[in-house]
Amino acid sequence: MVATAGICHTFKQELLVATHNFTITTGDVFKIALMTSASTNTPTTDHYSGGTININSEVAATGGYTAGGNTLANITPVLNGTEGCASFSTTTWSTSTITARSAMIYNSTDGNRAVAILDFGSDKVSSAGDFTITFPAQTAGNAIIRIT
Amino acid sequence: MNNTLGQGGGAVLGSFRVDTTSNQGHPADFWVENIIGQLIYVADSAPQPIRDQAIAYRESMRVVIDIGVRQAILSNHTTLIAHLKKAGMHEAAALIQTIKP
Repeated sequence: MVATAGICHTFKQELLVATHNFTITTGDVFKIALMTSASTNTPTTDHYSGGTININSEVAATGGYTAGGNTLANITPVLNGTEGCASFSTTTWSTSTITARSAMIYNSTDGNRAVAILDFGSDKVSSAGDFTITFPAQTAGNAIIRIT
Repeated sequence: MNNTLGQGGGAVLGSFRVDTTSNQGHPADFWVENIIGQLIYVADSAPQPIRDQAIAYRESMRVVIDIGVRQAILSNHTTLIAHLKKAGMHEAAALIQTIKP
């Protein structure tokens, strides 16, 4: 089994009640956790922890990876054309030895609520090196989280 | 008469990149491209004159960022070398001095 990518279902409802704030510096703290190929998480996942459906098969806390993953640097959302676009700066696990197949973005400020599940397509491996996730340009048709 | 209430919008997940290395970090060129990609995006659909100007600006910024990234790496090397020498690790300091950004 591998995780299934997508915007988490609960996140869509939470947007309508202003649960999440992606503003740079003053917004919520979002994190990204890595998962192995054994993860069965799908967009039905509602929390990293403390919810009904939580993360499973997170990468072990060794080799430069710590439980909960990396804190992301928010980029204040913009309206580009007809789409609302949110993004984050590039994140890196430096000097790491990690094998990961997928990731979960979640809001650690607000109860670890899940935002999205990312699928890498295959196992990605760093060995005494860098493990880097680069998010796309914050534009319509590209941004990592878009309201169309 | 029917009213159209929506136009089929939704919450959409974009694509992303995962890059890994073994026994080394990403080279300076990787970070230069990464920074450029985040700062300046030139849409394929942009009008040609605007597109040309944006690409020219991106290339000039690439030079500035390239210099900045390499200088930052060298500054970090300087700090590391100073710490290692202070700790009596002169061989390690010499090794770092040979690494070019």
